[in-house]
Amino acid sequence: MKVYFVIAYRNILQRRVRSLMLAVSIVFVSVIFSLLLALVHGVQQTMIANGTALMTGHVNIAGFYKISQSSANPMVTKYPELMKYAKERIPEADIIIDRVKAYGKLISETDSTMIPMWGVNMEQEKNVLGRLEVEPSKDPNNPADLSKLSEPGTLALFDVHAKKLKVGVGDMVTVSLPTYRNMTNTKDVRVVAVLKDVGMMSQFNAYLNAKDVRELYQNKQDSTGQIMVYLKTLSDLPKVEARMRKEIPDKGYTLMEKESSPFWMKFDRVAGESWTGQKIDITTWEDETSFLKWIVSLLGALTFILTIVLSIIIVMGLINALWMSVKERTTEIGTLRAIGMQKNKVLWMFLLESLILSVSSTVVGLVLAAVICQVLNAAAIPIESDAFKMFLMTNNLSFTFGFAQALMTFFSLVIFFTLGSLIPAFQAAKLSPITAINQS
Amino acid sequence: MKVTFLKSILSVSLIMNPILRTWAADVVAEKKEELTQTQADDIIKLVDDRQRNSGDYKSLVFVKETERKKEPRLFQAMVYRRDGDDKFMILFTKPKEEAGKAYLKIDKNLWNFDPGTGKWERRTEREKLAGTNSRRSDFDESRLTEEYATKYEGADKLGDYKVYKFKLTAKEGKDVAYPVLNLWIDQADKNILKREEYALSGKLMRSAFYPKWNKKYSESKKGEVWIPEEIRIFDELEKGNSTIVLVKDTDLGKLEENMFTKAWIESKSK
Repeated sequence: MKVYFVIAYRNILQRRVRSLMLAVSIVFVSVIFSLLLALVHGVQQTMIANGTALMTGHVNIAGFYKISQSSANPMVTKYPELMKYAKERIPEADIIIDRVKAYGKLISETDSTMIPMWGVNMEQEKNVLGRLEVEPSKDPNNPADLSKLSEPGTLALFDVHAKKLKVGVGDMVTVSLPTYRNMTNTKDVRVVAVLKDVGMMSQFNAYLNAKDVRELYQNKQDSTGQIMVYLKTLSDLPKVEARMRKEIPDKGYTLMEKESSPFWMKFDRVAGESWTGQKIDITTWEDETSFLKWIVSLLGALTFILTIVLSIIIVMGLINALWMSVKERTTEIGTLRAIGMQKNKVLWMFLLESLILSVSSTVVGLVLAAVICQVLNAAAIPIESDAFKMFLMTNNLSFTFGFAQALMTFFSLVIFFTLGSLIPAFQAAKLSPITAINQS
Repeated sequence: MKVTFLKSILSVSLIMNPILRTWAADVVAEKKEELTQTQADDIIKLVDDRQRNSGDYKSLVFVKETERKKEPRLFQAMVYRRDGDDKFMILFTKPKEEAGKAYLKIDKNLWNFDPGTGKWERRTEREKLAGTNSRRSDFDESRLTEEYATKYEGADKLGDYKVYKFKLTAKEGKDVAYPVLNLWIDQADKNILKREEYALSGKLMRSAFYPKWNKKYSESKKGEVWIPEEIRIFDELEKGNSTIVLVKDTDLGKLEENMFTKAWIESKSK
């Protein structure tokens, strides 16, 4: 084994320039692939972080209350009992909060916009909504203060909506929405904070005081939109969800069937069902943000296509280099075969050459990619284009390059390049000793 | 001095006389216009009855939607009603991009059809039709007596028109968009001239003016039906947004039996 390794290693050294060019190409592909994977993973991580701050817990106790057969109100009645259950029966939970759901129109002096809103209790939100960045107020007399959402008659909205409505901290906005009994209701609220945009999700969220939302909908104090449970470890999610699905029906609640979509995509289905009263829907962050999955899928697909194209180019180079090596070493192969080397050993010798090259280059590429990711993250490169901000769901480019991504890059590239070298290696192995010696 | 003083008194009384007489006449007239609760209820019932058809209804409707900072949009649609069965349908015919879109009310459900996707979607009763500030109820028959409790608020004047002013409050459990209405009703012909719609919070949401009314003979009712020919709706929350609805070619004759179906709309939307 060692002999073959030494032969392969020496062959690489002997054709230094060609080997170096190949190695640089493999390093380049490895860096590109790693960076793209890190970007996709970064977007995924941002999606979890933003999604869980903005609109969902890791796992939620949500549901619908139907006043009539054709209605579909996204609310949980008598929620303190379920809150008590969550606090007692989910020890894996880190934070448990509740939010009231709303959908209505925000109207300023100059414009209006329809937007889903959340009624929040700020005393619960310090580590959830409080994680979001607040834009500094342009009015020195009205500093931005997200904690003021604890006062009734207040609103926090994202920059994208503040710009559309041309409002800032201290300005009044009217919220107009139909109650669950379809009566129009309004409330004048004061902007207390403008939040920095976090991409596409900013479009779908604004925050009011929970009491105001209940007042707007004429709902009782013991009703809410959903109980949001944040786990200490995300890997506990399947276990916790399974337990909730088993225990909540035991407490006398009827569960809705699992459907991996956000609550607002369930309106039509629920409104079409003939039951009335309360049904509970256990959802996860993946269900509630599933409408954004296409972004991650698209980025993943683009990464895959780009890597495949680059890899094919590199493999062609590798095949060509090995092919030339076979041609140049025909006498050597013939001699080795004549003194008794088996075909499979010849094959192995060439494969080993490609393996050494791809393993070493990929490792260098991975190390380089990790360093580049660190540098890029430290630089916090702002995304200037609004379209890209919306698409990547972040204001700064974020790369998450972990061990899993490194392993994935390593194995996919090494296997791909080694498989590519099989053709010339087979060609070399197929050479008969007499023909090989004669060719020289 | 004394003569001058007397002259002044005389001139003041001469000037004041017609003013005082007009004021006194108005007071007497207003006294005459005091209505009892029964009379107030009867007027609102009359408003409902005069607009009620109880049979089939078809009209051509033009809607002009004006939104601030946007170009006005014009829509043309056909409205069909079968009041006896509480069925309603509106089929947009213009502009080109809206043509074929339709709303159909079956039982208590309002459905919206988009020919672009070929799909039906359930919509709420209160939804603005095709993005305009008009709602289904703007084209429906009047149900004020059934849905609201009436309070007479006195006589008033709207331009040259002498009107009764009423405050209507939604009855318990009634499914209405606006819990409070203010109505100005023409004293002479008992048609609504102005309507203000308020939210639960007490905020004025919409003002609607009904400058033109038309009457048609209805075979099913065996009497005349009053139809608002023009409705001018002003969004009071988003100042500058307004909608003008023109109702033309109203036909109270019998409609095809199978019209109020999804299949009929789909066939017309092709």
